[in-house]
Amino acid sequence: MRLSTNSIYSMSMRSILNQQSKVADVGQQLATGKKIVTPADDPRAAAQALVVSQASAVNDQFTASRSAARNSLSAEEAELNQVTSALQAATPLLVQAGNGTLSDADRNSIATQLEGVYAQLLGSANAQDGNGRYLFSGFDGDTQPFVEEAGGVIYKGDQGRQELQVDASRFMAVNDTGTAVFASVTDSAQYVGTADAGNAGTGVFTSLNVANASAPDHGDNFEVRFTENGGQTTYTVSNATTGDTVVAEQPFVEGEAIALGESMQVSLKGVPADGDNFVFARGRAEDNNVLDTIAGVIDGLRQGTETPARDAALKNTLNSAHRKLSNSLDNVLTVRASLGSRMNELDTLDTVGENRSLNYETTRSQLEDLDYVSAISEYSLAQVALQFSQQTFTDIQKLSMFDIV
Amino acid sequence: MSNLFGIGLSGLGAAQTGLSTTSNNISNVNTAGYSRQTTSLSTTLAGSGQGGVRVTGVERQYQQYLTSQLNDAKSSSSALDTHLGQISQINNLLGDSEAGLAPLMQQFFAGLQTLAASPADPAARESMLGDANNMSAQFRAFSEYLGDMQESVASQMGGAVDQINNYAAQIANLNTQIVQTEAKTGQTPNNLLDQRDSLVSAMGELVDVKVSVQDGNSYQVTVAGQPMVDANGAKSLKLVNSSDDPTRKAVAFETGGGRLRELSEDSIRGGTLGGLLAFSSDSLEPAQQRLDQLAHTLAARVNEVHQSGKDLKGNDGQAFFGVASPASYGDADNLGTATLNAQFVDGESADVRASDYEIAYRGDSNQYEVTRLSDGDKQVFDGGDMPLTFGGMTVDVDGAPQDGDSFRLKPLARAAASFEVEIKNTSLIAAGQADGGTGDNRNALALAGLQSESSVDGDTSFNSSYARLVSDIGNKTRSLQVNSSAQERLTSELETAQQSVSGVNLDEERVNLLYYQQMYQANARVIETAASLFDSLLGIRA
Repeated sequence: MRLSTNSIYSMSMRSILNQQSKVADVGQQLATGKKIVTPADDPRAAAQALVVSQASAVNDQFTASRSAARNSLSAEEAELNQVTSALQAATPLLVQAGNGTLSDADRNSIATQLEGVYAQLLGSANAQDGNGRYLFSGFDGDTQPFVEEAGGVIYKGDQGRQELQVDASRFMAVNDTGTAVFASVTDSAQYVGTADAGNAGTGVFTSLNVANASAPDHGDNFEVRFTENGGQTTYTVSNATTGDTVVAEQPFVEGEAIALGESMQVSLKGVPADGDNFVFARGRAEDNNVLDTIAGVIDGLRQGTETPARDAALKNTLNSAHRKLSNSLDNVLTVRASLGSRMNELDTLDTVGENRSLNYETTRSQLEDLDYVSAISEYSLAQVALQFSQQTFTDIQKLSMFDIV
Repeated sequence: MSNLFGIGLSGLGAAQTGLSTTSNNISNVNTAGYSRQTTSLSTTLAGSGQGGVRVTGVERQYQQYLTSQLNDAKSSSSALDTHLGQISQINNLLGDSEAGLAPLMQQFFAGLQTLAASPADPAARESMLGDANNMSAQFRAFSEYLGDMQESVASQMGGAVDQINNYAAQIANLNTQIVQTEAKTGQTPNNLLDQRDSLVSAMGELVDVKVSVQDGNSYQVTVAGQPMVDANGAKSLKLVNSSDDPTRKAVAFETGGGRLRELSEDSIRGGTLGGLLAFSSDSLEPAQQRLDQLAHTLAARVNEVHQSGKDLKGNDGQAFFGVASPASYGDADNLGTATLNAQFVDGESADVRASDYEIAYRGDSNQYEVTRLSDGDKQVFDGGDMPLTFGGMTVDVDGAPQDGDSFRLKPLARAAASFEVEIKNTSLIAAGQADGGTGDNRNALALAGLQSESSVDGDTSFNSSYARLVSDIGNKTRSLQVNSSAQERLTSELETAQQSVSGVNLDEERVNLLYYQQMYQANARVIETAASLFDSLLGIRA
């Protein structure tokens, strides 16, 4: 075909420009280290990279949430560790207080020691985090959860449990309410016997034992009521849960076992007065506040043992408190076990999260990052091609008839 | 014998013309639009008794069909290049993954998770509000960038229209000159023809033109089916606001007497103007609508969840983000007085599509026909059953429409541009769900959960919706790059073909130069021979 001089020049020029832009493109990839400089370079990979980057960012968020969760749980665990020690310190004091040879002064001294334990427990129950928010008041972190009022310690917080999203489908509670820690018992709590505050006799309950744990009435509350009629003391046992009378009026024999339905039995020392009554119950709210329990003991110790009835009341208080404290300790340990397993779960999730993070990074790199080896060889190739285009141009433009004739 | 002088002289003249034509070719080797010329010779008329050569003309080497093909190819190439040049600006903007919307949306949701960890902490609240402000500012900036491009496209279209009018006037002027010159001299004015073809080619780079040659060698130039130039002169184009959507620009043809006929976008495909129109309607508007849809859905969903929560003081949550109402326009040719009043329906943001709607009223059946412009989906509503409910909106018609009236509804017209955080005070962030309890983080968790919710179109998360925008622009840019370079190759091949007919080859001209030089010398020798013959005769007599 006939070629015009302009065509010859512009063809050479076009080829040089094309090669130049190829060199520049690969050069830009090498400079940025990315094979996708703009979305047009690989639209599918560019969109995929965005999706991966979000997945990775979300994964990082969960890591941050886990760290926040771990902080909260650790703060709670530290407090509950204190609470455990305090409860463990209180138990021997109760045993000691039950010793019949103690003087009033001795009992006062124990009361003083228990007051120390009480203060420590109250302090822990009202513990605050670094931001001044109460640990055990539910959602209501601005409100002091436990306040001493006439008649005992009242819980002022709410029952909110703050959850954090620690993984894609895992919302983890990062607090426990004051109620759950200080005023609850576990499902397997022991029976607690309570002598009525108005009891006038010297009856002291002992040996509150399980007769048959699988009996259908196990877990029901029982009430034992004494009647004195012409020097004859009798008792009646009723199931307070169902309202049935389980043992109709029976003569009372000191130290002999009284059947509380089919599941429990108890025996009493001393002589109950007419109208005295005892309640044997499990998991009642009023039994569960550990602060009230200790306050009750201190109160009893301070009141002294001038009369046999007082003495019996103190013994009953101590018996009740022993069981209650043991129940509370079990409860706190259960909460701590749950904390521990939540913290373990966080560790597991961290490991999973790190693996995931690595996977995302690998995927992102495969999508976006440049393969330097192939890019450099492409770069060299493009450079050689450019040099040849330039060489060809110089050669062609030398060929002119005007130079010859 | 005396005619030997005449023959030699005619040869000298022809050689001179040949030399001059060749020189003209050489001097115009770099002149754009120049068609090489050749000298055509023939013997003097038979039967005149004279011998010798005669210049029958200086012919312009030109093939109408090659030039037309080249013009068409250049026009397409120019349209693709223009579109590519514009969309590349968006493509490059999206290329910077650190500066895009995605990291700021991620930051916003990370801020919500942090808020969930310490819902009463003023620092967490402040930082979450900061994240929200950053994100909304980036939405506005992105929207503004696209808005600026729209303005720039409109002004480039205006420039192109002015130039087209200018070229049309010049072509009309040359038409007249060419016809007159031919009539006067009987010669074809080659340079004027070259000039006129150059103008047609330049005009073709602005808009696709069709050329036909009328009697008397004058060009009739048609643009989008409208006669821009004919033997009687030139008409002009004008950039106007589209009658069915005043926010858009349209090209209108001035039919005379100041009357305008709006040209459909489909009729203009080539040249800068076609490229700008294609960019505007195929790339820019869909990108704007996607972005607006993302902004709207994000705002609406966050507001819904936020309003179901309680703030730090236990009050009901307020709207977190501002949400713009849909915009609507009546067609400029409407006869009735009706206007539309469209509102979004709370809780139906998943139905809001990235599209405008055309609503046409049929008076005979009292029906409204609603067309979703993105995919042509049609719905018909009974006029007695107000409001019209579609696409997550309710639309009331105020005033009386007349048969044939139509309206343009732009639901998302200002969503990203007006994407603002309405909550100014950190205590108004509704992190909780119940009264009191400043540690209540349930609503913060619910808000954070929106990140993985398929909210946009009811089936796409916010991030994936943005990813779709990115891949959409990436795909379009990529395919334009491929098409543009293919078209460029085609154009250069056609250019080579056209140049093979019309272009100057210097080697060829060098040969021609030698050829005519030798012809001149040979003819001079003929005259010399004739003279010596005369001398011989005169010598006999003496």
